[in-house]
Amino acid sequence: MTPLDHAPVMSAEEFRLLRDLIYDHCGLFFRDEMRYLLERRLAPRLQVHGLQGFKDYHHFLRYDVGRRAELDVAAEILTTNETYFFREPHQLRAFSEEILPILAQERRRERRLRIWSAGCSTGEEVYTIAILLRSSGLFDGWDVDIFGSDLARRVLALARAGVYGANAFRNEEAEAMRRWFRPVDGGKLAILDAVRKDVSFSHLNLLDEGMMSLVGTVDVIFCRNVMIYFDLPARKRVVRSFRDKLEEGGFLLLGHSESLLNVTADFELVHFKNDLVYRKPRPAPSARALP
Amino acid sequence: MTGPVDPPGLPGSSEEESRYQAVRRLDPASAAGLRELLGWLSDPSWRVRNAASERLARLEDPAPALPALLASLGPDSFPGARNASAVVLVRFGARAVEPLLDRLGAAAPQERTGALEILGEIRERRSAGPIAGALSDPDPNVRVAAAEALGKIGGPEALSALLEALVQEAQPVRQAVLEALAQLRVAPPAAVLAAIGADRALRRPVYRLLGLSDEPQALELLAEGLIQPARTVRETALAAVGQQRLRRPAAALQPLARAVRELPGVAALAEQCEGALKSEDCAVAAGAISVLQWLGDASRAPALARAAEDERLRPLASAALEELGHDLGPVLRPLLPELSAAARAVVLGTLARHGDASVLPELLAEVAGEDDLARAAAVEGLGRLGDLRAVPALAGLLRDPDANLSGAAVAALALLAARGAGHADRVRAVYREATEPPGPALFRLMGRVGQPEDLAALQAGLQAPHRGARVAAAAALASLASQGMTGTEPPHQLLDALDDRDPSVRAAAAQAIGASARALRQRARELGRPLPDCAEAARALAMALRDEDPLVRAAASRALGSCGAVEYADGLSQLARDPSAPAEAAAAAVHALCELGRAGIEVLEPAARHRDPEVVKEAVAAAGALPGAAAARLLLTAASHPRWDVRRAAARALGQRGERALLEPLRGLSAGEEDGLVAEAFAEAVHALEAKP
Repeated sequence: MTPLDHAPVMSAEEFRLLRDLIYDHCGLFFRDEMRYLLERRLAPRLQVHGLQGFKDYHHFLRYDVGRRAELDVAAEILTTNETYFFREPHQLRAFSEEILPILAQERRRERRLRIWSAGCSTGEEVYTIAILLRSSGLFDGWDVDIFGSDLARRVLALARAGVYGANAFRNEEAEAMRRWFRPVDGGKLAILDAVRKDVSFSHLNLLDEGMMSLVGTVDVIFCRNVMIYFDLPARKRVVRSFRDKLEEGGFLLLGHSESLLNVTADFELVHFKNDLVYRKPRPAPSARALP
Repeated sequence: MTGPVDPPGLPGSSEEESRYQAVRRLDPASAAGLRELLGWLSDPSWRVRNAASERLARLEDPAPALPALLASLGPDSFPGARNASAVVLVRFGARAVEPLLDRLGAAAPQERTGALEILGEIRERRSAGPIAGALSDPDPNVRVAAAEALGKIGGPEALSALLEALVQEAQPVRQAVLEALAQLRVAPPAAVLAAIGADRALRRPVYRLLGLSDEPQALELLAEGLIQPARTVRETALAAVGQQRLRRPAAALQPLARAVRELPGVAALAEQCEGALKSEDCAVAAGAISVLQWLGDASRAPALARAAEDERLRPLASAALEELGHDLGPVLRPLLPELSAAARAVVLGTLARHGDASVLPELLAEVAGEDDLARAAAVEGLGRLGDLRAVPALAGLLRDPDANLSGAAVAALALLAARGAGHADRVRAVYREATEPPGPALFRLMGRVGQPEDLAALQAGLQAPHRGARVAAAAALASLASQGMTGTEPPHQLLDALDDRDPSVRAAAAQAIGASARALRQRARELGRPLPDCAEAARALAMALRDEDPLVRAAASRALGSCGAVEYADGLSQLARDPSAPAEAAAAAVHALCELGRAGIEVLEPAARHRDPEVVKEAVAAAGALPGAAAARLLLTAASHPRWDVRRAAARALGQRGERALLEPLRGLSAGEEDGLVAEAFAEAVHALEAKP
């Protein structure tokens, strides 16, 4: 058993062994500086399985009958991050004030809009997008689908429930969103059914090509603070999938510290007033003579 | 709301797009395609150049492209083309090394510099020697580029060249050498760094390296860095303190803590550190937390609590708050509403550890909250608070579906019980007075705090309908047996559990038998008593070696080792040598044979060839203690294994053997090792053998 007053320490060797196992299992890659995160978040699993240390945990993940389930649990624990409404306001302003009007114009014939939040965690981003769409008034009567996916099933259950505490509204700009919620027990707020019906959630591993093939084409992809868990080859694979899933002229919104530099040149970087955003280029009107 | 707009950058992109698409269609394997692609490297658009680089990098034979690519490194080329060519050459990797090394003799220093930059990116160890030669180039820019390249390449040759250059060179090459050493995470002797630090312009890289040094003198120098006049130098010193803190135990830094407390102007230093807590650089913030902890100023507690918002800094902030003292309640409590759940849990945990009973309601509220990490931390806080009023809430969590939380509750209750007989009785009442059948967490609690009178409940637990409960009961029985509560032999009920219908229970029973046997034998040795008779247990375990489930066979193997059952060594040897045996069972068999002192070379050689690295590592560990040339040969072979962890295990085992005859082969292996962790193990092994007479 792991005594409570002596937190288990993860050696550099144990970190790499565990990191490699998780990478082989689901493609998540943890950089060296994330050793502490693994140590801290996986320590409770030693208690759960009555293990002495991370060496035993590695052994458990290699050989135990329940290894696959435990690897799923570990991946889920390691990628669950606290989130909140209207996170990264500059980008969301670019989305609502600049991207949505473009899409309203360009998709006016089909009157159909598809938005995917890849790595949606507990759903705050998906509902933020849905509320921004409704608030814009540009898509009334359109066929709108906002789809959130995540690797962790547990967070998806919370996302589907759509019930949030005050902490989720900590951002100043999120205050105005409260009108799209109704109070429920425990001082929490639940998303209104009208917004809830615009969104759907699904379990998805971005590196699982079989699962990815089930995702249709979309106009906008939000994938913020997810690529930090991928190494370069995996990033390239995921971004290639995004390119394939995006309609021509569709937008890809990454986290503020993420970029496609050295990943791909398949996207244009568009300088909006509020933020820089990647866009899948529209096809050239006609082939031109080569120099 | 404005209408649709064409944002800047979008219009006009179609022409670029057609060039980009044209590049993507070109085949670099054809002469025409290659020629065109080389031409596109000079396109004004980065996207087009990048696409051309991508295509060219796919060439199986780079030879036809090399002359043009190397030529575009010249000083007269368009910078975009130069960069794009460099990208391609880097992607060619080892295949471009020879022609690039030839460029080190080019007349123009810019060409020599460009070649060195690319060689640095390619990171081929064999180029380190010629690059080290460039450290004597007449042009200082070339010498700087050589130092930077060596910093990326690493290895013994690069390292010794850099250390030599450090003594001989002057600024600015010396700065590049220091930066290169920092990149390789190798600190020169602190005395050398102290001398170089006399030059103000070199203080930042000097402090960076001091953060990597384990010498006591380095710690003294670091403290001085915190009060340097230049802000950037102070910040680098703070980051170096953070580096020390992140990589070494707190106790090792006590000399630094003392030196910091003795610095003049600590109020200004504390102010500076409070500002640095907001740094994006984790090392700077870690250094600031450490210094504030050592200065012991309780008024800084709110800033430290806010630092706990960053998960990377949370344990350091928690340790600092804990050390700041016992009266933090009045300064920290007003802060609670503005903190996130996780940071709040740190604050409440700190107050709980200091026995501030007033935090009980907040901890209980946190336990009922929605953030899992914060809930677990609050449970831990309840355990540390030592207030028996927390027992009902903790007991309620023992049936929580979140196993992390029920596990934390077990640990918290065990901590409460450790406070004295009264507390322990109250905790035991949780399971003794339970009306529902016990679940896994309750059995785990019995294992932690149980007494002989709880044995019957645990034995009954081995028949519980829930598999998890039976597994937990087996482990708990082993725990009580280890404390001598079941007599001098492993409990016989565990032997019955070896026939359980569920393999995980059978494996748990075998593990429990092994654990209790090991503890009982250890106790007997300590008390000078005869070793316990484990014959019956060993017989049952030997039967379990034939279990259909490999996990049961593995657990039984290890348990036989723990029982000291040498009479079953043959069975274990068969398992260890069977190439078709499941990996876990084979690894366990090798481990057990090693424990029994029966792991001969005839067992270890086939095990070292096993497809599973865990089996190989067990064989390597055993070979480290086995005398003879065959075992040494086995280790040298394993030291070239494709898996890094096997090579690391072999390096350690070779060092432990202490045979000076292994020094030369070890040096050779060390020189060729690319992996940092393995190289470290080889260096330690070489050092250990060099120290032998």
